[in-house]
Amino acid sequence: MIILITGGSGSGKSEYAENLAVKLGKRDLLYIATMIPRDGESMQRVARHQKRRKSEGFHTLECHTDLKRLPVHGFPTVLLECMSNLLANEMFSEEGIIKTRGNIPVVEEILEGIAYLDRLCEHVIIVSNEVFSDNGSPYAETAGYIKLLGEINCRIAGLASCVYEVVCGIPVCQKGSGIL
Amino acid sequence: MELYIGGISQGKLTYVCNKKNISKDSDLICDGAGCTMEELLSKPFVNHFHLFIGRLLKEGGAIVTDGAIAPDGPKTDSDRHFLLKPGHAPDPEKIANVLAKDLIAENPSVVIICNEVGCGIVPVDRTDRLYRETVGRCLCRLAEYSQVVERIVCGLGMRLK
Repeated sequence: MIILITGGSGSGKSEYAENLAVKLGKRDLLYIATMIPRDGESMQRVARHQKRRKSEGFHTLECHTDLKRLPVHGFPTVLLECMSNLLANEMFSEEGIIKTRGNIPVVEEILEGIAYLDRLCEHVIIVSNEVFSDNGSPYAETAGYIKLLGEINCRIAGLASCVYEVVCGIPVCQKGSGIL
Repeated sequence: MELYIGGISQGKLTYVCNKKNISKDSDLICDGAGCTMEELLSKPFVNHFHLFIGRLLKEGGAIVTDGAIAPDGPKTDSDRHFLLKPGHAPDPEKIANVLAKDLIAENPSVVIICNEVGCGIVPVDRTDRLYRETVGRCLCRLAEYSQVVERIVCGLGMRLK
């Protein structure tokens, strides 16, 4: 079962997704961390998230690219945070698909990763980001990124049993009738 | 406390004024674009709350190093630069918590109107990122406390809480 959680910056989506994982999983929770920390600001963000997860008993696996090779066996509940970083890594980082393997379609590759998680795990919670409601971007790379993330979000939402947008910490159910 | 959020030009102020039966130029409303901290903590209505946060961060103003908010702005130059000085990563969550805590304590029945600013691509500029994060976190805290949260789209309210 796939559950998609989206929201804007600072919307409280991570906290909501973590609480959801704890309620669904109870034990052997796996947190898939996708952010490559590059500066003080991202370290601070990682530290805040780690502190919150520590008490909740999450195992953590770093996954910057290539989701379908991640050893997730034995974890019935996984939380992937977040799709926006995973896509950026695949598109722009040195280890990403574009730089290492050239013309493989990124969206298909990522969706295969999601399908892989869905085969092995009972609950797959995916956090993504609402980056679509300003003026887009004048830069071709960023505009391309927005387009692909939109496509990925739509495709995952199609597969998902439940989709929530978190607004000011409040979950707004967009699909499904609520799982708890 | 009541919270009304939404994108730019969605008719948030009109919606709230109609609902509360006040005029847009009422003295009961203060505007985040120019109001003081004192007004923010005492007026029954606050419009453009996001702009207040923007000023707070840009003017470096009202936040001092011990985490308390000073109504008169920064006491010293080092306070002014505290938020954005080189090598120092300001914590949006802490800033938001301080502001939300003060609002809840001093002005618990305030009606707040605020833009949603977090639904675009994450900006390259660090100050812009801090601003978006701080507005977002602050709205989470205030929404938690509020009895009513509505999101306005095309002048129509959608009740979230």
